[in-house]
Amino acid sequence: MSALLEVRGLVKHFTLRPRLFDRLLGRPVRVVRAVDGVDFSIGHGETLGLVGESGCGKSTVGRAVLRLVEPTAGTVTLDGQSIGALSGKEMRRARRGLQVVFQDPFASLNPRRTVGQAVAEPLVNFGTGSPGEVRTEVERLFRRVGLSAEKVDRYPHEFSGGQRQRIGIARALALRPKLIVLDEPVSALDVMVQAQVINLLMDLQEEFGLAYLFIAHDLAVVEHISARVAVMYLGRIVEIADRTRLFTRPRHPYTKSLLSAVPVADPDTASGRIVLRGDLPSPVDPPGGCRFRTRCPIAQPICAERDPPLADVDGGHRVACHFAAEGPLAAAAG
Amino acid sequence: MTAATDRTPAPGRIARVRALAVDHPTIAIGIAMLAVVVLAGALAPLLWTVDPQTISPANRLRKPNERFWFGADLIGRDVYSRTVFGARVSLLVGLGVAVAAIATGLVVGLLSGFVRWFDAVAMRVMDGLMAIPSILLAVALIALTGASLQNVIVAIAVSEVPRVARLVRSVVLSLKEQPFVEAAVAAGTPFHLLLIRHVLPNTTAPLLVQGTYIFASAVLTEAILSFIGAGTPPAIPSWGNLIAEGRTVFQIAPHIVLFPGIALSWTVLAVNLLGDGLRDALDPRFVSRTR
Repeated sequence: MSALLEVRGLVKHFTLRPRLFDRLLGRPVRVVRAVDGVDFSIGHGETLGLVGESGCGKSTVGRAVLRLVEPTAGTVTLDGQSIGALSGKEMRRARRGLQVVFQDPFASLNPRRTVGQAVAEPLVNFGTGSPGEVRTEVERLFRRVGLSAEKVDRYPHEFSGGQRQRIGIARALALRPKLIVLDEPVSALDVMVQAQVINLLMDLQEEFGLAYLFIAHDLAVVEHISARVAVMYLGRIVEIADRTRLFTRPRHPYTKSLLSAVPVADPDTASGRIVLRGDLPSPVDPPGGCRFRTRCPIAQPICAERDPPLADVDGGHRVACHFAAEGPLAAAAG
Repeated sequence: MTAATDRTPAPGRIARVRALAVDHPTIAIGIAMLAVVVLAGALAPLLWTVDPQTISPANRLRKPNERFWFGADLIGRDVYSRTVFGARVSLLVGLGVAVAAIATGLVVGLLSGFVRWFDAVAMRVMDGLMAIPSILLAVALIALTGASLQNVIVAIAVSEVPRVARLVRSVVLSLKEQPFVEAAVAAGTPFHLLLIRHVLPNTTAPLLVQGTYIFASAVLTEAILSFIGAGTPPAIPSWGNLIAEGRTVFQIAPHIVLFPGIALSWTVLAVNLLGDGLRDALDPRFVSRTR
């Protein structure tokens, strides 16, 4: 089975505007390595969870997949079609298959347009049907995401965060895309509402055969919805595996520390919390060798010398760590 | 997050106007004051008492009386009639400058916000324009093109364009990062519809406010230009011209300066009140404070 989405060697560097002094002194232009070589694929109807702390580049990956930013290097292939090579017109056509739901339900709807207009916008853009048909479809979408169809003529400020997120989902769903990029779709919501929205997303996935790229900063959120999970650190994927394998037998020390931060509702589980020291290093000047070594509990001299590749350790379980194969890491971590 | 609270929709148009006047008294006062000036200008041919261009040396420097309501000037022309007609010039200049500056600034600002190379060039030009005092710039342009009402409007508008362009550019730059704009792009919205649906509607509020300030400052600038003799031709009864003519005899006939001066202050105050009210009413940060 060929994958729906193939991302190969994706790189996105943002050039910082040179400061006057730097320019006068002839210093090199500073570059933020937001995404620095990322590969993954998503199958039809599959969900990949993409997890990492803020600033690791996970949202940039999502935006590059949507071609809201132009990648510096690498290819994004959707359904056999390389998105980066498309002209403006072709790209607009390709957007039918590719939609997005953003994190902030307050900023993702234009305050001056009704929510019905927001959901109708993609339908109108692709000229699907008369105004009456569009309206019927919008009302149908509203009901499908659990909102009353009478509310289509209201303005966004009349809705709660969870309702607005449902509106955003209805808009993403309107064109029956194959892939929806969910950029932290529940991070701004209450825990109760989070669960409802995630259940809605899972129902819709089953009904429409959708594939999701589910971006989150929290492993607990992606656990229910993802088939596979990728963990990002400082612009790279450090570990990618099936959900169960990643959650039960994580190999990368960063994944372990993230997992140890997830609360477990079982008093018998040893808490073994791995707390990382320090902050995320600057993506302008990432550490040489392994990028995680400055905060890694098991760092060795080799980690400063060689950058570990993302290598397959066990049937599709890929890890970027020199010590991934060497038994239980917790022991080494002490 | 109380923006979504129960603002009951007003039942009728009259009720809505009343609600506006109660919520934003400055808007209501500004509109009422401006309406007086607009009516005076529009109905000037009906309101004048003595032909504003008639010279009658016998009545020169006459104090206000029942025939010359605001007195007469150096060559015996009626100050009241000339002040009423002056409203036309001031309103025309204010409106003309506001419309011209906003139209030009909007185009420059939109292009700057979306086209990178244009931005670098245009913004340096705007910086250069802003570095020249607006009066000096207007005087220079009038000197080049000759004094006429049209040239005065263009000359004042040129110095107001940079402010509008910068405002629009900053709005565009912040809108471009808004998720709802990115969502529209992701939904396949073509560029021209993106402008019409999402960008322009969000620039109207700040532009409306900016427009009132431009209006007020243009009225003042026109008066200053006329006062220093670089504005509308002296035959046209603009308030600046009236004040300039009365300046030399200010100590024996203050009424010649006083009445056009009051009209000028009244108009500028009206427009500024309106602008302040609009700013408060349209700024989303203030929305939650009004019930």
